[in-house]
Amino acid sequence: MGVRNTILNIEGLKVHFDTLDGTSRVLDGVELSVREGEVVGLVGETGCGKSITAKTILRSLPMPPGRIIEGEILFLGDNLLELSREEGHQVMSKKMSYIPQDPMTSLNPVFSVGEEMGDLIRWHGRRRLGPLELMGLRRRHDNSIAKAVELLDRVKIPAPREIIGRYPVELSGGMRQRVLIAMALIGYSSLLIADEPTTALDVTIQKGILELIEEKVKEEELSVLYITHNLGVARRLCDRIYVMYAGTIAETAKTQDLLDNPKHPYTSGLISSIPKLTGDEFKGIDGRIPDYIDPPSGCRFHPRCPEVMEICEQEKPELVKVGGGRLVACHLFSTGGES
Amino acid sequence: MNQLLMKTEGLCKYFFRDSGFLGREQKVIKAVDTADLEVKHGETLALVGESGSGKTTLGKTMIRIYKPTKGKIWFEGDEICAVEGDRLRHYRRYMQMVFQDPTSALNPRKTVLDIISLPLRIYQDLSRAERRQRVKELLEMVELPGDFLYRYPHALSGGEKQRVGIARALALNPKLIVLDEPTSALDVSVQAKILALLQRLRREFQLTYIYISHDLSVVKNTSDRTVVMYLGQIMESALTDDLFKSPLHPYTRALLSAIPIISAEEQEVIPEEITLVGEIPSPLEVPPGCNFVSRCQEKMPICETDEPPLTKVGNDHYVWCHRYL
Repeated sequence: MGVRNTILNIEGLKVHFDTLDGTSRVLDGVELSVREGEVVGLVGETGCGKSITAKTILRSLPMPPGRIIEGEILFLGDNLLELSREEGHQVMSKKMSYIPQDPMTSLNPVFSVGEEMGDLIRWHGRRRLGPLELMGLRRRHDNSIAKAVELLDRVKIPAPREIIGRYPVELSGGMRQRVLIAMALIGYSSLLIADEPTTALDVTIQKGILELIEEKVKEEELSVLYITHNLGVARRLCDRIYVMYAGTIAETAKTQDLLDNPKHPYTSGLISSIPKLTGDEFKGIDGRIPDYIDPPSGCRFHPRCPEVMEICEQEKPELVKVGGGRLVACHLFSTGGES
Repeated sequence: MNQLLMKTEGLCKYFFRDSGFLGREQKVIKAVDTADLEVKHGETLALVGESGSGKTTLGKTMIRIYKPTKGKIWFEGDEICAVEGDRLRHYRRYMQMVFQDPTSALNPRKTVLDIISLPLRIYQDLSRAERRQRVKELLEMVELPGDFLYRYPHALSGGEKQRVGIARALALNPKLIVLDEPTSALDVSVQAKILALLQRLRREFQLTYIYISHDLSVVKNTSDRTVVMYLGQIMESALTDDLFKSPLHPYTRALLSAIPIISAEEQEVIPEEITLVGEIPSPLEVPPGCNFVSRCQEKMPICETDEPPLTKVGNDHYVWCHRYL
């Protein structure tokens, strides 16, 4: 394996939203990196800011109300936040792809699968279309349909030629998700961002989709940022996991280390909340996710933390190394070192 | 524990859809097809299956939210399949339901007090103050603070809304509660709390639960008996521990092997990898023979022609599959 280059590096990312009730401080210093060929999981509960993180990377964050306060997103050497709209679009469309969360609403219902995929194939990596193309009078890539069929074949859709002419309503959730994955595979992108692609699907369908993503990642040597709330799914797919809580990274470690030996009290709470097949007892975490307009001082987890100390209310913990490539943001580790 | 609370025999719920020119043809969707079930006093019976398997329809038909198309339902020895009007209302108070999506199950224009006291207003002749007192007790039972009385649903978190839904179901001291995926809209840390609450309430009030879920890890930890459904039919029914130890039906095995797990110990519990090909067929075009035949990896010629018979394979363990004849 050797040392692999970091292709995505996020440092101290803060994103706020202006609302009528005040400023909502959602992302509060997110640090995250993805190395080449690595599948990284970003795990957290509803409202913890994982999708906002993805949207900020993809520059699809609505601004306003969103505001990037500080931080940088280094992607293949460029700071994405400093690029102009045009340059950013170039980098994005050539080197990143995205699988959205909801297969039901992510495809345009008035276009057939072939039309929608064809557009993307024609557009891919280009800045703008010529006037004739815009009017549909001149097609530069007449092989777009053939390419679409080939892509659908690669995501194991049976009878792709038939599917090309179908509309999204005629397809099941699993099929639509496969179409979306095919669309994400159009370019040879460096980074794939997947935002809970299997959440809306049944377990047996989910299994098929996960196997497909696993296979494509290997085949195309993709680097992936995989966002999910399901640790079981993350375990299956990811080399490394980031656990996110209320807009901050709580902990990161290799998948099995994290699951076997969680360090941050939130991670332990999360893992012990999952019902196990072995019948071990499971318990939840008291309290609720904080209000972002008036977030708790210091560590944002302190009001719910079973091991809260005095310092937790005053100081925000930094991510510190605790050995084995692990990082933890908790005063239990920053003061006393390794435990 | 072993007393029978509810029993169904050949219970069917079909939906009809007009099609063809001017609706001259009628298509039948067999949402629930000949379900034979027994629910014992004080147990948690889990109905498990993927979306479209008919588990919610079965739950709703059993407590007469839907009128059954065919079949029989006995509740505490009384046949309730065809009762109507006041007689039905009499039974309804003993059979309550907690819905899947806590946000759409609560009227956004009513306060928590209004929401929980509605069943009391319908069934009991209480003064306003008595009702308020009872709602306060109910809130306490579901571990919510008393000052929630005058809050509106939008001011509550998902877990709190679901607690209000549970309090409403408890208001009339029911015997049976149908829980329709009560935690599927919630995060795991909240889910664990709600499940613990449900367990406590069951013990305290000797409730019987019909627990509808697609999450097998939850079912394993909460239910006594499990019924696996696919496309409107029951595939396998067994004590939960037996079902996980020795799943027989090919569909049950595939379902169990698809559970996302987080540790190696759990890996030992689930059967070897089986990946199902294809998707659940449209309920309008159910294949002849066994419903599962289009995705089954162990199908035999007979599966495509004959409906599988019920086979008893062990103590309280039944399977509907040609392989186990």
